[in-house]
Amino acid sequence: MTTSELMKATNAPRNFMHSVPVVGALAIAAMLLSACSADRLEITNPNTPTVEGATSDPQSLQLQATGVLRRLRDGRGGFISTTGIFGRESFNYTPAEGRNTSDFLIGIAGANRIDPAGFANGNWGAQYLNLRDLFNLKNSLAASASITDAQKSAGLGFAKTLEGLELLYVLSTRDSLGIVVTIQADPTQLSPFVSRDSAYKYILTTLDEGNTALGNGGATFPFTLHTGFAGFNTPTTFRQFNRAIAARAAAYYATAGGGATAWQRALTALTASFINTAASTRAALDVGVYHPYSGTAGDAINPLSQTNANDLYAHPSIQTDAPTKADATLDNRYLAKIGTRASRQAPGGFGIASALGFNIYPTTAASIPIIRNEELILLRAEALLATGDKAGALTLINLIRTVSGGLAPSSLTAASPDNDVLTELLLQKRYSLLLEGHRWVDARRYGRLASLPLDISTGASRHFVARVQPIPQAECLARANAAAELFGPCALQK
Amino acid sequence: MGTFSRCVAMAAIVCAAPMYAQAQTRDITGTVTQAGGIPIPDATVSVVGQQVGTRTNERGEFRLRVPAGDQIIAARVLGYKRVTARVLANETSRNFTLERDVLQLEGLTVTGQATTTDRRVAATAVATVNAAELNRVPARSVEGNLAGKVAGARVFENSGAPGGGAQIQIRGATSILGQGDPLYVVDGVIVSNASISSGASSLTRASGTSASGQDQVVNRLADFNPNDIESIEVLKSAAASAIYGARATNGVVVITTKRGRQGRATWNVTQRVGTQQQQRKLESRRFANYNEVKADTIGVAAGGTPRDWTGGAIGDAAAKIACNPDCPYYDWQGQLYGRTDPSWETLLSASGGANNTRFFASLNDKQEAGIMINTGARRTGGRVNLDQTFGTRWTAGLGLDITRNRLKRGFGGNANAGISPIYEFGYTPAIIDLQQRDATGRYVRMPFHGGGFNTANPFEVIEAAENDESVWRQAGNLRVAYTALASAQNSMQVTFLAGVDRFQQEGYQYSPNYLQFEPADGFLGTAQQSNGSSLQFNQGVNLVHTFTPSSSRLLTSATTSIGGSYETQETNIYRIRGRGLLPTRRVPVGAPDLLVENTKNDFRDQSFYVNEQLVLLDEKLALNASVRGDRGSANGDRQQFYYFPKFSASYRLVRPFTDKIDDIKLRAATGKSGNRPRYGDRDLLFADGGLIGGAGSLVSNTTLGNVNIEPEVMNELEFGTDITLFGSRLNFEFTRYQRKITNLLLSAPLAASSGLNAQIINGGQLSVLGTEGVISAVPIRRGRFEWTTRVIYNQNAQFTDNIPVPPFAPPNNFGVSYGRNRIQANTRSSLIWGNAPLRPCTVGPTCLTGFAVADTILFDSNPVHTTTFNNDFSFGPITLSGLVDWRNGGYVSNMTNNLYDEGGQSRDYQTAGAARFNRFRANDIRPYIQKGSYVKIREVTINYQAPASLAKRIPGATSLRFNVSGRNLAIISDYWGFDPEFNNFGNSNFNRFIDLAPFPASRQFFFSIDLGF
Repeated sequence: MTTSELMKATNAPRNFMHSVPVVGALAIAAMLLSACSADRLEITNPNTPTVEGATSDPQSLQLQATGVLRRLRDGRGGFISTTGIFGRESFNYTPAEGRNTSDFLIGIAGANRIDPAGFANGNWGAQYLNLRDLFNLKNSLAASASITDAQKSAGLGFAKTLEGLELLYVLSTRDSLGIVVTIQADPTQLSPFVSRDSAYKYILTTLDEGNTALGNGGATFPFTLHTGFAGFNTPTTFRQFNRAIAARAAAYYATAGGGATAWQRALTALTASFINTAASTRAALDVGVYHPYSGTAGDAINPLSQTNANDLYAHPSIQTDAPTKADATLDNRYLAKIGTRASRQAPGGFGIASALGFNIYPTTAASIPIIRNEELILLRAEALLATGDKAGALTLINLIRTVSGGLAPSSLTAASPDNDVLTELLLQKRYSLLLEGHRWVDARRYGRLASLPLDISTGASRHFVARVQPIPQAECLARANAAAELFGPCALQK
Repeated sequence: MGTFSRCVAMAAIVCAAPMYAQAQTRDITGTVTQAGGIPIPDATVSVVGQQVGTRTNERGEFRLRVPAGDQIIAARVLGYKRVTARVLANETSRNFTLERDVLQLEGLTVTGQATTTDRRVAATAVATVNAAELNRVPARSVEGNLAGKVAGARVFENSGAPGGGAQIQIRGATSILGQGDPLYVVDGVIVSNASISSGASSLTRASGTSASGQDQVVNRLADFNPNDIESIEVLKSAAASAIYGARATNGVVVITTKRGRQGRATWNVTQRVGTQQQQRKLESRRFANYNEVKADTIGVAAGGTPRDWTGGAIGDAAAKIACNPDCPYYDWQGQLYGRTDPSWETLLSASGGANNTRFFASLNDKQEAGIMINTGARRTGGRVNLDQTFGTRWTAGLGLDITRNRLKRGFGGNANAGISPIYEFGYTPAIIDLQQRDATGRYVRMPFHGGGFNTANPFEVIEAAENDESVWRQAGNLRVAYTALASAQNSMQVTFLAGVDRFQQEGYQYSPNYLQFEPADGFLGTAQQSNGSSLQFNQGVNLVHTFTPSSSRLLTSATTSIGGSYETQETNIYRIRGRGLLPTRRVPVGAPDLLVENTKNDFRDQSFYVNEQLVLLDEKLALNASVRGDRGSANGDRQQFYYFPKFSASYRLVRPFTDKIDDIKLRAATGKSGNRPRYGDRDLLFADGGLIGGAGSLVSNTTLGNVNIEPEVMNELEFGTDITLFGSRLNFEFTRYQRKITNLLLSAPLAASSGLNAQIINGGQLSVLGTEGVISAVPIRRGRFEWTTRVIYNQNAQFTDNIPVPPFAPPNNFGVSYGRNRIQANTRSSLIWGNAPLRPCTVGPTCLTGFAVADTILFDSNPVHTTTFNNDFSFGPITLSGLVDWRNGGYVSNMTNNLYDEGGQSRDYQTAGAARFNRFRANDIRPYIQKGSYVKIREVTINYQAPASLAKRIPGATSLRFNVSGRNLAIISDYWGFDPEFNNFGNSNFNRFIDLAPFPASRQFFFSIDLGF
């Protein structure tokens, strides 16, 4: 083919092509028009629920309510195991991770305090995560158009009860350092630290407001609660749970400056709680509110269970301090709750060996209590003792000794010194509420931290008893530029 | 003008275009030949300044329709110097004779989505690699072909595993959390270079449960057949890449595939055979006797506890038997990585054109054998490119590519199940024969390193466990162009472009129930299926108008282009893992432990642009300005356009001062480009709280999205000069650039008491200051002998200028004990930080020697410079080419060395390893931050073009070529490990220096025969 032939061929299909351009151009123009629309850019994230999409969903109240119970549970295992180490109840002997011992029992070497950047600064973030969720739940309740005012009130009472409980967990680990009590709508805005006294007042007020709201809450919640709330799953019965938490908070406040008024508040709250001083069986003592666990995919297993928590060991003093029954065998609570394990030593030589473990939660699906009757009885005993009714306190102590421990009644009488009765009371509380997160808190409340054993008392790995957990360093760094922080707990622990 | 009306206007232009009036024209015919009268087919002949022209046929003939009047016509083709000639108004023919362009001074460079300019007037540094240079020696993937050939682009292979996995970083890291890879554009269509794990972590447990970035992930550029590529242009500066707007801060790699050539169809068949061997061996320690294994006193202080390398009672028993009394030595690495099986590659391509149709078609089958037993990669694919002319005004181009890519990369890198061989060998004395089998036919168990469930016999793992990846990829593009106007001084062309790129990547892992590590998780047998699919769709329209005044000395040409695009990218990844398989069952179904994961991503972007390009003063001055507006679904405000302008200018001094200087070009450019937020950064999300009491829940997401999130922005300033001397025998190219990246995507920590952990924000600034230099020369040209050389020099310094969050380590690192980058204001971002006793102190329990251990700056991971030497020698039919790559400096975190020292297995344990590890134990990690300088012989190739007489002995053949080549033939380096280029985390913006038990590097040899018909 010559060049001219080539060009002829190029020109050949001209007539045919005459209409194609117009059709083609129109088709392209149509495509372009549709491609230009900004609507094309409006796509929704399919992987995770958007706040916008989920809150307008009819299921969302239920899902959010379940969410706060889930998050409440998320913090529970950590609270028990860390306060357990501080209170010389338990050890975390994870192989090859000595910091699970050293950061809790030795702290910053020679300084008698916990490293704010270390492993032992927990019981902070998990609780505030849930306080954020409770904040969101309250907003969702207020905005909901599909529930009655009574249900809104019931929901608010539920949220405020859990809010008080979460704040109490944080405050019981920070004590005199003070804590943050409010959640801001804008998470970049910092809430101020408030003093221990203000925090207790805030918690008690929140719980009281919750109680009032529950009282106006009609017959049902606008959502259902899990089985751990069996018996406490209507606004009316849930109030008993609210009062139980309020009693604990008031008792804690009473030993932290609240004094006699707070003790009275505790006694009043106990009366309205589910306390049952006629309990004559283990089951009656165990009545209460629990966190359920399961092995179902997406659920969580009990983090302290006998079968799974292989690194959780019990402090040997639990055996040596255990009371003995009339038949010279050890306290029923010890026998039921403690078992033997292959002896393990703290990694790095930071602690002592232990061959004891906890059998309290035998399976991975065993529930962990939030609060139960046995604690309420002991709280009342505390309050009675503090308000001068030593005989009443001893009655309750003996109830626990016999029903829970299988022990003979105490030899103490109303004539015994207050201090001895308190010692006995705290011993009963220690064994009754073993691995439920109480001993360290109680020891601090009554100024008895020095009574906790130091396993290693000399040398570089010398132990000490932490009085409080520090404010996590990350929290302080995030506040570094806020003027108000110059005098806050972050400044103090530098 | 509102967005919608802008779109309407554009659509109206497209509709109106066909009705445009036709002006007076004439045809000019002629031929294009090279010296000696040999015709040059497929040369482009066009009116200077205009974007469209015609192509010569196989006899070098052309016919070009030009406007009436005097015209300047140019003839050019890649590899030859351009020739221009003035054609008077009454002339209708013109012949051109072109000279070869050995220094690659000519060619076109991309200036816009639909516009190019002659390289010699380009106002930005140009980096083009043509097909011949690209494909001198086969590589695993295109990145390997590019290594050392582009000033400003650093290419890293992530490991030595077959099948690819490599990163191109252009002018330093530009993002911390955002996309770090360049944008890849093939024939005008953006294609995916996604890195999706095929799921090795389900077995290795390197990180996560089912997949992680530590799975030797292959980025999908590996699916492209480099032999189909005509040229690659790398747009480096923001001024060049601004035309790609909000996805261009990492540079743009513009790939052009081969098109059909006018004339008789020609066929090419290449058959290649090759082999490979381990490039470097780590070796391991040789033990003299049982006592050395059981109670090693080397490096132990007097009275200290001797070190026991048996790893427990099982290992102790095995060592006692093995060392009787002398310990034998087994070269495990040599056995496992000693495979030299042949690699094969068959290439078939055809090209031709007749009448109004041109075609290019290719088929390719590449089988790469891995040096590790049971590994390899096989890529099979085909491409068809069609070009069709309809009448005088309409042209259409169509490209289709289908590829199947199958990879068996074995296991390597980080592992926590004893599965990665190099990792495992670091802890196990090589004193027993691991290739023995017991009575049942199974491999012996690994007795060392604990000897229980947490270890494995790598020979058994590699034989019985599977880790496969299989990809089907289909890509296509369609380009329809309409010449709306071709008048005396004006031409206008409208182009519509649509492209689709789809792939489906299947991953499969299987580990049978009897493997040694299987009981570790409580379930015997694991199987996982992964599926990652990606669909990208692009469409765009461009309108280009060229104004060429016939008799203006001031203005040579003015090119205006406007256009817009709409792009979507969707990915859908799901994985199903089953643990506890029924015997011999190889699918997850019915397993007692099932894990299902699924994530979908969807990006949509719209853009428009205006571009003005002026060539003035007899092509001495070139000016270019453009602005692109982008909006996308990933931004907080989806309606808002973000604008990315650019300006560039160049001025040429033609034969200044003396005739020895051909040309001096001074150029300056500034531009802005963007990097869009990640998927979901804008979204305010709940999180799945999980179950409690059988009910599902919603909780707040601990990382807060940001409804105001914006793209990252890079501003770049570039200056340079290009000098050509001695009749194009010598060329210097020098470029200095400064880039500032602001509006960085960051995760700002929130106070925990707020109830959330972090929020995604924009802020801070990174910057890069760098220099690129290229010297090209033809030092010798005598008779048939010619020597061409090119030296490419590359240097930059990368900084964190300011950052609105507390200092932090960017992702993909193993923390303070192994070294990592750290983003801290007023600090070089490439520095490696880690623990070392460098903080002066006077008191305190941690103050031992006057210095306390601190996380501090140790070394710089950025090389002082990289310099590559390309040399081509040709003597008649024989050509010899070589590429030597020199990296000076650049430190690496050698965790492989750390493992071998910790396990007492390093080859130099007695002389140095024990001391290294003692320092490491004392919290001084410097022994393992090692200098990564090297000189690599990357490519060597010898070509012999057989005489035509020999070729014709094969029926139908017209040409015959023989080739012997080698890749990565040698590495000269004091580095302790395989290759300082490797990275455990694959493609990473920062921390690209973590060497952790990688698949070893190999050298490859090839012999090929190429037949043309």
